[in-house]
Amino acid sequence: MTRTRTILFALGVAILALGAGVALRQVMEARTPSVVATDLGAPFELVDHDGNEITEAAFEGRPSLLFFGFTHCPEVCPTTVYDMETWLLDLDVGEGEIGAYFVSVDPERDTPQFLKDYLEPQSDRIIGITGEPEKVWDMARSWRVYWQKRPLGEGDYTLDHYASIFVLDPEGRVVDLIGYGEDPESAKAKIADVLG
Amino acid sequence: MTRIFALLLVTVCPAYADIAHGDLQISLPMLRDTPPTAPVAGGFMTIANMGDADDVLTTATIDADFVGEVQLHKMEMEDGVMKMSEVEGGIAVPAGETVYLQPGGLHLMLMGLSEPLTAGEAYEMTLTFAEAGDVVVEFPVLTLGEIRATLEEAGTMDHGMKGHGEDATQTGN
Repeated sequence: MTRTRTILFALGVAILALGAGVALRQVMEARTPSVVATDLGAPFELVDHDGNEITEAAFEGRPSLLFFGFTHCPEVCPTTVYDMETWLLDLDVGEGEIGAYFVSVDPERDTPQFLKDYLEPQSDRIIGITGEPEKVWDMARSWRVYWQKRPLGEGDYTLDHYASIFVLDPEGRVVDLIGYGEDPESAKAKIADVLG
Repeated sequence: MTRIFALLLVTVCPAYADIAHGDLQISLPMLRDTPPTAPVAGGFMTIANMGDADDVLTTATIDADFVGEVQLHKMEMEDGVMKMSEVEGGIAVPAGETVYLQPGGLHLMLMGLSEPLTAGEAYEMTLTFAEAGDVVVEFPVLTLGEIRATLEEAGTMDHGMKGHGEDATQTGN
């Protein structure tokens, strides 16, 4: 018990100290599956793509998949949306069994309506999350997600961003990560694991 | 008449038809379909330089007025972070080498879309090379599933996904 606590504490310190999704991934690689559940995230009040309030309570009561992206993203984001939807269909996961969330790290451009028009044709279960930019960025920071604006000329810009999917248990804690471009079978196994 | 001819051309040219342009051979031209409001889209192809002289793909323009511009981009995955940037000075196509524009790596980035790209459509793009000059290539619009299947069939899948394989291996441990 003491030992487990020490390890959990050490993991927590490591994550806080390194402070990035990158660090989290390194920690996750060292983990024994289903033993470590990592606390990330902080309470938030944002809006979903229907304009309804959404808080951290959305990640409780059932497992969730959490991804941070933006609609002006040509590849990683639409691919991740496509893959998440495909994996859940392949696994025959019922709609209420898992939450799937796409948080925009570009809230200045991604209004709820924009997210809705982007996500709904691709998936009827992936919920977009956005809101006041500072609040969204605070939320993303609480998940230790990296993002960085990069100019593309003429006032346009793109965003570098952390591209892995967080796999959350029903208490909203991270139990796994699915990397971008990961083998579909491995990704599905991780989802099946958290569904129990 | 022209239209019928164009349609015939499209019909007899599968997505993976090779286009020879001087010493360059262009194959697997593809655009990815987009969700209705996505303002950007990716374009892919394989360029083989069979000659003795280096060349550079300097610009690409698309014959579609609902697209703002086409940029040449590079995407890299580094420690789980996606990094994207414009390729300065164009995409080099060295003599005797093949350059792959594929998901996960180099790509054409269509910006400022005011309408979506729908699978089944096709658009002409003019590719400008520093040495070989202009060539017009027909880019069919495919779904991501079709793009993956095409690359898999062509056996060139690994070139774009290079960085990803590593990432997946690590996170899969």
